[in-house]
Amino acid sequence: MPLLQLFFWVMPVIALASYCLLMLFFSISKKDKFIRMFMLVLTSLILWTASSLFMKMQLYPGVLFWNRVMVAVMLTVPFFLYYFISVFTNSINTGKIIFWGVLTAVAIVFDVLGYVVTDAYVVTSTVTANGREFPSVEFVYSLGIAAIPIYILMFIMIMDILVKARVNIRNGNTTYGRIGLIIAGVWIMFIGVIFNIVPAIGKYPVDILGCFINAILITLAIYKYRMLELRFMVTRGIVYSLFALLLTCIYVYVVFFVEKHTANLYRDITPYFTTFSALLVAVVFQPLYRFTCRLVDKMFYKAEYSQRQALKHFSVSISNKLDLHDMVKELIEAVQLAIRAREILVLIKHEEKAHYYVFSTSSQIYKPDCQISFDNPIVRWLISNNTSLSREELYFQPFFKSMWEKEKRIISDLGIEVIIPIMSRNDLIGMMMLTRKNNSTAYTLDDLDLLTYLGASSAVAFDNARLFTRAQDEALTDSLTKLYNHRYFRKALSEQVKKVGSAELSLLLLDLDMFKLFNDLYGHLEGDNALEMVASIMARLVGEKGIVCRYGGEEFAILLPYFDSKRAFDMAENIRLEIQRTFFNTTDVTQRFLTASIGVCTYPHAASNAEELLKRVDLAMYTAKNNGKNQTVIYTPASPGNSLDEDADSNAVKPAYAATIYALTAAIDTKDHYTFGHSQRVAEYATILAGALGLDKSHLEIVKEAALLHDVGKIGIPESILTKTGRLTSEEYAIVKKHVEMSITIIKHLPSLNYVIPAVIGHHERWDGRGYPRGIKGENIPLLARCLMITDAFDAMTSNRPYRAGLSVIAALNEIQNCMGTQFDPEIANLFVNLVRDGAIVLDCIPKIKSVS
Amino acid sequence: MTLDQKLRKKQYDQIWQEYCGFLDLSVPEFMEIQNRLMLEQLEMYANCELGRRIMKGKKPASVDEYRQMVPLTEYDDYADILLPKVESALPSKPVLWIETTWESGKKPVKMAPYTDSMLKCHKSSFITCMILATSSKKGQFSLRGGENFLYGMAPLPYLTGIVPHVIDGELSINFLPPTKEAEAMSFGQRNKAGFKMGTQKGIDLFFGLSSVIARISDNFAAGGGSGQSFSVLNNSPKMNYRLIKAWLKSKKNKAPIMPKDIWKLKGLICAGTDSASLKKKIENYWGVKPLEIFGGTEPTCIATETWSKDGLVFFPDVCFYEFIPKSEMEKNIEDASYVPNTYLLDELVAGNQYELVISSLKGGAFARYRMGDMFECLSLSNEEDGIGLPQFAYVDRDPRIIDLAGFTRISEGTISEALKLSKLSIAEWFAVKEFDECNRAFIHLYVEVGADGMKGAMTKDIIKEHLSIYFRYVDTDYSDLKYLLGIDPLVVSIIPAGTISQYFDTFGRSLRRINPSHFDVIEVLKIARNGSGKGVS
Repeated sequence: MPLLQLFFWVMPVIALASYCLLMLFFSISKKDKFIRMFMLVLTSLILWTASSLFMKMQLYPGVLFWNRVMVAVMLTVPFFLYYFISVFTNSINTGKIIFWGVLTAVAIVFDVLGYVVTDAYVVTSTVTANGREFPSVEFVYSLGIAAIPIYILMFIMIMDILVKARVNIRNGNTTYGRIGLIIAGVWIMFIGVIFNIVPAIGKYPVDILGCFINAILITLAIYKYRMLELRFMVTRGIVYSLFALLLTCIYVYVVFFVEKHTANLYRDITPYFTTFSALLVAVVFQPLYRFTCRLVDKMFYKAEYSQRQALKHFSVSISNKLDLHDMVKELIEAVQLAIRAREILVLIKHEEKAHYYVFSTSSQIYKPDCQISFDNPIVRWLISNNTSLSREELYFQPFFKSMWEKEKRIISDLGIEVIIPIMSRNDLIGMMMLTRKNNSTAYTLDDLDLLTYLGASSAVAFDNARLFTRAQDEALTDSLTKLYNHRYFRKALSEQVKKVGSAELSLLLLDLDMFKLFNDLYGHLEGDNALEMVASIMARLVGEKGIVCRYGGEEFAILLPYFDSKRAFDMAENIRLEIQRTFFNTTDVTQRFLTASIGVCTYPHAASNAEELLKRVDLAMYTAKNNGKNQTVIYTPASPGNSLDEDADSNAVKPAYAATIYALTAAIDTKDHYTFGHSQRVAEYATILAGALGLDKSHLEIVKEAALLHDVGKIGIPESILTKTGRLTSEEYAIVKKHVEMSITIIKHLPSLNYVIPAVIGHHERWDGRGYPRGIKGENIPLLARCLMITDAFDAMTSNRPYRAGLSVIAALNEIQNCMGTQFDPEIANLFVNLVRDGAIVLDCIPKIKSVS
Repeated sequence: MTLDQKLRKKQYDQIWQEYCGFLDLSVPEFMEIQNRLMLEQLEMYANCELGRRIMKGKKPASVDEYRQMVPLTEYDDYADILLPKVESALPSKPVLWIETTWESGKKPVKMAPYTDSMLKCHKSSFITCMILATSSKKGQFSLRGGENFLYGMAPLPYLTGIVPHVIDGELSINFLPPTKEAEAMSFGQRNKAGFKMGTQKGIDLFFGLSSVIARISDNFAAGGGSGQSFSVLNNSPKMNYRLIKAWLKSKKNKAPIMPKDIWKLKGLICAGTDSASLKKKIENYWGVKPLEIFGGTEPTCIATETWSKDGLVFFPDVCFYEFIPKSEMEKNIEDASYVPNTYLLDELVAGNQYELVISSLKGGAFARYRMGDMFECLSLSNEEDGIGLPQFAYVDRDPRIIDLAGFTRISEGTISEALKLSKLSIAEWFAVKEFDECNRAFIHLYVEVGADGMKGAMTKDIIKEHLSIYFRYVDTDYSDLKYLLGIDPLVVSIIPAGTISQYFDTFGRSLRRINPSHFDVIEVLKIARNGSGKGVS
């Protein structure tokens, strides 16, 4: 058959079949107003194509009749399309619909009355193609006076449809993706109709070709852009069965057709040939069946299909994961597969910082730095409702009126459309935020249900993963300082040595000076606080440039990849000075005092491997200790003290500052001789008392030095007050009380004497907390200060002053006993009383100032 | 999606929830919103020069701390920053400056900065008012977009001028007259032109000062509707039909044509100090219950009545509200050094009167600002309407101010200035706000003539004429009262010389010059009658 004739017949048949198939799908689908309206359009298209076909087949009552039916139905298509677009975009203009309806009806009347097509008939002839003869059918018609005006009417109506669609896209009522294909289809149909005006072209079914292309575009709009949400009312099984039945019929027909046509020609081998062809067809049809089923799934259960796939994939993969990053990635992939949102963000709870932060996103490069605080209304809403929250709800729920502008801005800047809670055991452990869908359609209830389900089903796994991650972190983290621990350090050291290759890797080893003493003086709680503070200083100063670890006790190790000795030394000095500044250089006399000694060693210049690096940095650190502490030493092969015996470094207090102490006490003597003698006596008594308490040698030295210096601040008190014979006024007494702080201020300028400060600062405290300057009580008062309190008071009571005679020893001891538990530590006071009574402490002895060395 | 689009999609439930959903809040939920937004404001306030100054450099960590640390403020506290518009000193960058008169023109115009968030909030509040004005039942309203809105309010840079600009793009409304034309017209011209257009096209919504609506309605009825030039040719057929119908009804009943005979309003919004006394009258004229709203330059629109139109409810997200009980306020009037206690919305007692104190939210400038407006807490909830929030009635300005029809605010300073300029020999005086038989407010000024005056011609008419001239001079809005509302706002009474000092001798306290208490006025008048035998003339 010639191509033209084939086109003449096949085109209407295919178009009709396509429309009928679409109509079949629509009729067994759940219907809403959009689908019902579209079925009207489809009915018109079916009738148009059918009447065209019937006309060509010259069915009864004749060509002219079917031609007029075709024109009438063709006229209804633009009207129904206009109506459909109005409903679809929710922009119904009743007046205009009536207007177009009336005009369409008038045009149909003109058509029926014969003013559009006056005559139509078919001319049949015979044509020869490839040596064979075929009947050729040619359609001939003549137009009436109303034809042109009616075509113009159709043109205007189609233009109106296009304008309406454009306006609605601009107003945001719909998107180009959703109705763009329909608009394209309308154009193509219109061009086909225009060709009908030209009889030379119109004698061929170009209008039907337009209709056919339109059918394809409608199918594409439904398939790809979900213009209409089709859902079968019948079960998937029935649909599959129908297709299986159809394919079986075709299969049987093919087999019988083969058998029939081969039986005459190849009688002997027919059974084999038939069996072979049956097998061949079966092999071909099986994938065809599967393909058809998948096509049905994708076309009519597309959302459900993707969602099923996503769920299936997610439930399998999440059960195999224990790492939170992997799990979140799986969740994002599952959501992406099911919903196809432009952007998906997963936020995870940060307990310490009391906010939710962006943990992962669907984008490789996009990870916004935003947080949702615990008191954000969104968080409270998700916790109490445990369901999805859409952007619209943020506007119309009065609950969200308390949102801050910056909180609203986060949501709008990110373009968030939906927020899904991830709740585990009544705890909102995270949330999932989704932006617009790729096809710009709104989230359906089914989408939200699925997302809520995914959020809920991932919650427990996330929680477990979070706990696992935390456990993992804890295994490598020091619980007090939150720095990496020794275990991690060893691992990181060898990794970094390998990683830097021939480049530099510096190692800093930091040890807090006399930290044991610090703990003894202030208690372990204060010691822990100091460690935390030092850790935070190091973490802050090193940042991302290196790895800070707690090596053990009061030792910290810092790995600085690609840091040469100079840069590492600068970093070490920054840290040391910052520690000194934080703990030492303060006007608050109650502040603790702490310094650090740091060793620096750099690979590969000063060490050839990790072990050597560690050993040598240790040596550098001990050198810093032995050189007087509070300093940084870089390891060099010639570093003095590198061969130092470690035992040489002890906790013993060095006598280097004995001269300073004498100088200060001499200064007091020149100002107030009483205070000079008093300090010496107190030093003597306190040393004996501390010895009786069982304190070691170093503590005895400290208490002696503290006693000698405890009133050094009196240098700053006017002589008129110090030597006043009468009773002090309250103002004068307030000035005298300041001598404690002045003592501290003086001692602070001698960093290496800082160990006496706890005892000096506490010598006027009271056991009941009513002392000064800090008002601390009980065992919070350093032990050595408690010794000084008693010995200082005892000497003050028993000394003769210009304005009064000293008390007797008995009276002084009675007073001490009376003040046990109020002014003095009862245990130490009791011991002191016993020491005096036993003669271990002798009054009026001339104390000898022993060398502190 | 804009409100227009939502209306087209008939999403009425969602619209109601979005704009009127706050009426379902409980008091604790309301306070939660207040506290949270106040914390946001504190964060912004602490980081700006104005905030640091008002809060004396402190940084309150909670709303309670803020209320303890920050003193109550008045406009003087802000003037040096707001009047020259020092934007860098403000908590947030303003996008608009709104102005209003300050002490009746005695001081320069007050300026208030508006941030973008404040404008959005104001838009939302006013749309809420429009929805509620067109509703008679919870969840049901007849606002549909495209309404003709007779908008009898001042244009920018006044607060009421914001509305046409902010709702443009959100809701299509035909303002009568159109905003651009209205901005070039005087107050009187605007109302006249608006009515003319309303006659041609119809009116669906009307917003105006209660006193103005009442006056226009009076004129309309008195003129039998003929006050308007009805041109059949210019009118829409629908309006012509209504006019003919109204005319026939008027002839049949031998009664004047009322506005309600011509226009079927969807909603009527009113505001102003005398609303309470004029609402019934307005309803009779227009056939629709007016919705009273409350706002001001400093706080924006902060309260609205609901569908039953019988009590104001505060918006939860516009300002932070505190209330000074009347007794505390009076103590403060007697002794300026006394710091009155303030209470929050969840601490009020029904039946009591309170002075409102506001703190701006969303980057506004004012902190613990005394508005000088008195409210009565009618009830702590409205069970009938299912509203769990306190219901209020606007009472008046605080007693130190005489507000006339919402047009002008007369203070002691205004009267003293007018008396000084007039050079009249007035020895003593006090003024009281009173109402005439038509419920229109006026100033009743009681004067004691001085020694010089007694020698010359000093009748109360002479005093009134003199003072009226100087009132118009010192108060730019005063002259509008007579011109627009037909009110003669001043009545003068002469009391015998020495009456006020005798009051002091008798009661041992000074008489407040502006709005002394009702009983004090009675006592003064008793003294006036008994003391001289002449009484009050």
